[in-house]
Amino acid sequence: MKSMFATTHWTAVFQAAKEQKGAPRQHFGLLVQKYWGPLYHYARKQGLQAEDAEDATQAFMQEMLSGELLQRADPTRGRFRTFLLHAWKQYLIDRHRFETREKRGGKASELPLTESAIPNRDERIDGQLLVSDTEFFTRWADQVVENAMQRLEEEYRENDRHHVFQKLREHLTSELHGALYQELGESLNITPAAAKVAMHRLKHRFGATLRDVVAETIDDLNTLEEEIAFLANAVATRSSKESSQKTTDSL
Amino acid sequence: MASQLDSMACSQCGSPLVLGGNCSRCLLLAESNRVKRMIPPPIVTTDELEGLQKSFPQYQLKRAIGQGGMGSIFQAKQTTLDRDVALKIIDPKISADQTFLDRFEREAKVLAKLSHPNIVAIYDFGRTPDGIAYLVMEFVYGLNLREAMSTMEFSVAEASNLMQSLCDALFYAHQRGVIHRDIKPENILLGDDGTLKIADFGIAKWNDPRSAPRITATQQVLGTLHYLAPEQIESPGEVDHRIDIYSLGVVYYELLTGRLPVGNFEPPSHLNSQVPRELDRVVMRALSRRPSARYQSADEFRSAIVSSAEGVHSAETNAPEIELKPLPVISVPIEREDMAGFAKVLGSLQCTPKGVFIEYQVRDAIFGTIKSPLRSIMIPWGRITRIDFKPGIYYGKLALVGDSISALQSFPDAESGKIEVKIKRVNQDLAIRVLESARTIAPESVQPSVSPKRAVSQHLLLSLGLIFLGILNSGFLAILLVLTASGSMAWLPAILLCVVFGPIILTQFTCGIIHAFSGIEEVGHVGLVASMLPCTPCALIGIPLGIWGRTWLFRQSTLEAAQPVGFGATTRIFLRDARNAQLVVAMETIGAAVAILGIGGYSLGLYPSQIVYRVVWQIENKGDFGALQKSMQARLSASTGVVVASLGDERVQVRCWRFQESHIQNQLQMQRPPSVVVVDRASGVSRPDPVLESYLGTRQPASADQADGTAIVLQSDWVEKVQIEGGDSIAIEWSEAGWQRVSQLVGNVESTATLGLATNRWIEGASKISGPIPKRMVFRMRTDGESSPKAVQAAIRGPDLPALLEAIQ
Repeated sequence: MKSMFATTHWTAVFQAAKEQKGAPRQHFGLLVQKYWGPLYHYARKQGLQAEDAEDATQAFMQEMLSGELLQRADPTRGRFRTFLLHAWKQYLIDRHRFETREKRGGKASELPLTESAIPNRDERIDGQLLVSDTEFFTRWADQVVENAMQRLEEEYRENDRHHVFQKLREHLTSELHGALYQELGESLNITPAAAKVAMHRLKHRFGATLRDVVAETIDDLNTLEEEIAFLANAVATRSSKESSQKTTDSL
Repeated sequence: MASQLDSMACSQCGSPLVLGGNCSRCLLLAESNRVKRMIPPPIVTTDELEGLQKSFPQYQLKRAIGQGGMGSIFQAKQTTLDRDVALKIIDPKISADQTFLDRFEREAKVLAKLSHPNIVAIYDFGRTPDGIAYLVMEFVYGLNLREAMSTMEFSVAEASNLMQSLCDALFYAHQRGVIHRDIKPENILLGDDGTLKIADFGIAKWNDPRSAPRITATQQVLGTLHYLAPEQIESPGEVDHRIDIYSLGVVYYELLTGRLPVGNFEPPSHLNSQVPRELDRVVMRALSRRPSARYQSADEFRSAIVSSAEGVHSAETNAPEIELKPLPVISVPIEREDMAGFAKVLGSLQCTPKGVFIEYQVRDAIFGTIKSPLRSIMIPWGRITRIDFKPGIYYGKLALVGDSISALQSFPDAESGKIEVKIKRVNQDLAIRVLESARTIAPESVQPSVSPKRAVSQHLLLSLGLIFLGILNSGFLAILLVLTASGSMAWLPAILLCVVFGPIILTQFTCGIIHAFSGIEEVGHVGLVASMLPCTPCALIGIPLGIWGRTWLFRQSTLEAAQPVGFGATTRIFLRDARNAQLVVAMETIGAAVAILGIGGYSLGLYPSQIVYRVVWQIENKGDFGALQKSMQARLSASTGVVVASLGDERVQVRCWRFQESHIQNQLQMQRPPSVVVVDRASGVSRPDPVLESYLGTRQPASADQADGTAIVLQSDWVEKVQIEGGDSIAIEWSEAGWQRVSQLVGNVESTATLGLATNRWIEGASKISGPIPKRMVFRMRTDGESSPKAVQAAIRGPDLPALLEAIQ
């Protein structure tokens, strides 16, 4: 992760990748790579087996980089996540069509080319593909936080403060008080006042890094806070649903 | 990977944790709920960064950490020494200027010599071969105070510790002649190893030191204006190290209260109950508008913080933080015609140490009936940008300009932050004195427009005018004499005309010359009146009489003989008959005599006049009003022809001759007892404090209909609350500022002191005190067991009670 902490909105990266191969395309590939998790998860939800899903995701990445998909994709959708989801859906449909055609000996062209062709019976019965979209965005939000955390960890490591990061990260969401600073200070061998500053620095840096990460996925910086609110909302709706879905997931 | 995500649940919300054990739900929620928006990270594209990287081969640029007025700051690694540095790259637009570069070089050398644990060290500076000016500084791994304040809470002790280190650093730099000039939270860095450092020393000066701080549209830069000392904005060329003390005071205030000390701000303890009162004094003193009232050195500031933290009253902290000068509080009557001439505004204006205080009332322009209750506005000095007075012949003009429209807006007919009022000629002296007191309090807001030069030219104008008129009239006289000599006019009327005109000419001449040399206004007036003789009432009588006489004579004479015709025929008819001529002349003489008598009478004040006194409070008992009248009558019994009558319920009229007016006013006026006195029982001396008086005196209850209310809310800076207790006593709770001042006042009194509140007839007067003054004091009211809002009003409005009412006690 030797990115220069440069913030450029993704449409520019996309455009560059579309027009020229080499470094720009690699940059875009890296960006897509970061969101491997949600893509994979979405494929699983659509009913693909673990191996198939992994294959599909890998292949999708490859095609993104080879340029085939890039030429077809339309970047004017504003947000990276909707763009990627759309491309991914399209890709899955194509893939499914291709596979069924193989199975049925080339007769598959008669099948309708719609999203309903995806073999997810439950979803089709409900007719609620949106549920699946929110599912994707929830994962996406997780991924954003995870990416931000990784980047932050990297930053701390670069500054020889990895141990501080390790110690403090779990307290990012806990309630801060004097006793905690005391305790942290003792374990890090610094004064409580320094621990307080270190804790708040981590908090602050997380906020900034999160914004950096999110800023990469939108094309208008003014919508930054809006996007964060969206992500917060996406994860907030999960907790109740997740527990019921987790059981189905484990099956 | 999916299973890894689901492995654990957050202890707070129960949702699964992401890598490393953090809950994305809690984190995102916290981020989206952040009250204070984060300043978006400076946007530097990869290309730009790579471009810069080429200019700095010895450093490895890591990330942009900030953007200031001068350029961008990057975190970079100095590869040779393997250490992190902060690389400040000056905006090419600024560094293109050669004078800037010279200054940059000179200053950087001075700064590089500063070596203090609380000052960010300078490692290197210079210019790259492609002309980019840069500065390499120590990198502080941590937060700046602005970032810290957005999430961190500082206890009073923490804030004070912080301040002490900052004072140390400032004192060190000040001793070496370096002024920071731009102390603000962004420039104060907290390291995560517990260090505290000030960055950007003296860099603000690298822009032209004589120019005002650069104001750009970026909110960041605009926000820093709050940290600048007043004199830094007004006269940036002549500032000293005390501006840093002010800025530090602002940071301190913000740390303690979370707010900026803007406008008429409260002491920190009002906003944060944790702040001890001793600290209030320290902060407020650092925030004094005048540099001389602040701490004179950072070291002094530091020791004040230390001693207030220890709760020790050292002699130093007891020094008056607000200079208490016994300023005579003078108020000047003001008026303003308003609303298309249908209404006028009458009122008074006075300068108090806190600001300009205006009381006014709207009245009908013709009948003088009251159209609004008495209102008051207080405009703090901080809000006044200009106050200036221009004397005039009949009315002077006093203009008051505020920096925001809010404070002055309530005054009738105020035009966007400016009011202009008229001041009668008789009161212009007062106006000048008011302005003088304003100059002592807030010298920067007073315009030096009352120059003697202007007054002289006005004098001369009048004198020259009079002399010119005199010459004109002399010419006329000369023509008359020539006419007589040539025989075309009879000698008698000619001489008489000379007799009539002569004194007028002489008067004008003499008055004009005397006025020119002495400047006595009255002489000028007499001369003016003499010039305007034909317009006086006497002329009004004399001229019709003359005309009538001439017509009558003409009719008589036409009967006798053939008359000369043509131009001047009438005159020739008159002149032919000596008797007629004598008659006419006699009549004109009578007219002239009446005119002269009139002028004399007017000049001496021999005409009826009246004085109307307004009684501030209504007297419910009619008997009282009679008593008031009687007492006035008794006082004036020595002067003849004076009648005292009442005009309605709130005005008393004294009818007299004009010349008696001043005498009557003297008779009725007596030394007004101060509303608040400190009585030293031991020596029996009462010492009025006009400042105290002005604060307590000019307030009024929030609303008049609180007749049964027990509390009256005051806008006073001194008095927090006035409460009527049990019907016969009035309790005054001092505000912090008031309490401090009263404490100081009484602190000077040896032995037991008595604090008296208003020696008018409503308040018993005194409360005994010794040692520290209680924040709340109770005075007994003389209300015969009946609580009267008027009494309270009278008590707290002490100085406004006319002397008249106090005279009848």
